[in-house]
Amino acid sequence: MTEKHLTCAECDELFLEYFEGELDGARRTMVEAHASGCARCQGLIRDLRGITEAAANLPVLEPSRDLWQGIEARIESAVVPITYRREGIHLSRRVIGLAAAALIVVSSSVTYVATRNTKKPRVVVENPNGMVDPGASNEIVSGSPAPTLVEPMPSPEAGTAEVAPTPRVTSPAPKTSRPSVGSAPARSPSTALASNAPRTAAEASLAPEIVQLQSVLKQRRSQLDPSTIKVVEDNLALIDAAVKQARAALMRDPASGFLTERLDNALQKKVELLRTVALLPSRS
Amino acid sequence: MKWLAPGALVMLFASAASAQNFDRPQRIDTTLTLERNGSVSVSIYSGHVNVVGTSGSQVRIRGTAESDELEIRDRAGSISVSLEPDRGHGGRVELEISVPIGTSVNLESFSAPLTVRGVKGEVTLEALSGNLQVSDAVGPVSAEAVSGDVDIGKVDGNVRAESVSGSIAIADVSGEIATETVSGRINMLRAKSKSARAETVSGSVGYSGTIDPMGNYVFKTHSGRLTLGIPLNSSAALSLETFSGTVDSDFPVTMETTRGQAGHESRFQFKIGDGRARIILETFSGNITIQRGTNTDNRE
Repeated sequence: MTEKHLTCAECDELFLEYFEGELDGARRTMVEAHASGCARCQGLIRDLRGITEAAANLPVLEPSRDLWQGIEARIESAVVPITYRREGIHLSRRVIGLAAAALIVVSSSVTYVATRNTKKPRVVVENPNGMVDPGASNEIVSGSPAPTLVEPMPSPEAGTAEVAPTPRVTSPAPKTSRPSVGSAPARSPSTALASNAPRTAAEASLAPEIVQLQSVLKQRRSQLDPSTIKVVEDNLALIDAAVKQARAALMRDPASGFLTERLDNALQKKVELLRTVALLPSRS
Repeated sequence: MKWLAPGALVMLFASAASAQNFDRPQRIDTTLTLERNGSVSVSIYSGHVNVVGTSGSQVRIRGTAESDELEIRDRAGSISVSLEPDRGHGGRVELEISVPIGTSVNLESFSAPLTVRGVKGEVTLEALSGNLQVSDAVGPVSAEAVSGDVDIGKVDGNVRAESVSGSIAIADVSGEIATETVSGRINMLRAKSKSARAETVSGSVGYSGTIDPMGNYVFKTHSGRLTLGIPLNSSAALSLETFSGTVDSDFPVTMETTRGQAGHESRFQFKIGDGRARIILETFSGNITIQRGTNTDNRE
């Protein structure tokens, strides 16, 4: 049988199944044949294998309670704790770095599951004392200790309340007045009093990942090129400014789907940038 | 996993001189035969890589390398040039590579600029700080940089381009466009795309080109300017939203303005022609401009 030569893009499509061991022999051979002559894919496989091995050494990762509740409300399938371990692997510095990256992959998967199933933006009002501010990064970038991840316990005393979904127009709408402003359910006085700042559902679910990624960034700071650090710092500052602006506007108009989306987009951008930084090659 | 199948031809090109002292860059000039629709991959740290498509079936690799660990592998359908894995980044590598038209090209570097011209094949470029340039390719084309600029032109196929702080310029693309930056501006010129999506935080976004009647176009920025240049005979439903910016349109607009509780947020919806395509423009504090014609150039 003539062996088909895969392109890198085709290999990219197959890597997931390749690492899951789900490829049949022929396709597996094609991937390996391509990788044997392709520096890019060879490196990718090496890195992913390192991540896989490092991930096996990670402690059991369980979503924080508040995050799990959000996930549980949105999906039907159960989340299985990651318990797979592999014994006897000695970690090099490179692998430790990749383990950090694996942590990101795992946490981002949780985030993805949480946000993928969020069909409509929800404004969640929480106890300000229990909030992690995912919009603050400058202290991390500058090298001070990472902020402690606070897991707000959902109790009536904590002042956690949810506001009904804010309608969001996602396609050309008929010429009717926009419902999000005029018809959004008003928050009860008690709820409003319990809040100093609204948090979107995406914000709540992204916060833990941002904290983790900021911690990775702090650890990797010495490994990265100073000019790269400068670019990252400058752009994180821009994103944080955008987060701050969107949040301030959202506080004045909590029912705005547009502002909710702006805030979520900025936070998502921050996660993407931090993920990128976590996976950047070292300068040496 | 076996990295090399039996029978694979392996050329350890520069590593043969590993005992030498590299005060002077080592010269490289080698020619290999590549079967039709094969691939060429290059992975280096610094220097530059220029790839150009030519007729014929041969790959010619010329240039210089300060590293003694540069490795060229030739296997049926695939040629790779890289610094030997796990041996450090090595020195500068300057490469001029000609490849058969239709070759799939994959280049990656730390700081080296990467250029691919006239290959009429699939192109994937990645660099941390080097600028990336592609012209005359048959998609998909993918380019990712952190601080480097991305310049992509004349692509028959889909294009994906990302940079953190670098600018992205895309011209004469007929496939779908997906692009994003944090602070870099995004400019799409003479596009003939059925779908285009651009997102940035502080950069500006410009799109000029045709609007497919069934197309989907989404452009978002937090604080940058949004500029759209489309033909007079376009058919699209437009949804514009800005918190504190302004909207300026050359097209006659039947506006519906809605203001948020804070009195800032403005939303405009209107149709051009039959309004079959969907165009969404959103910015928090930037201004939105919609112009007739496709000569809009977002460059400062």
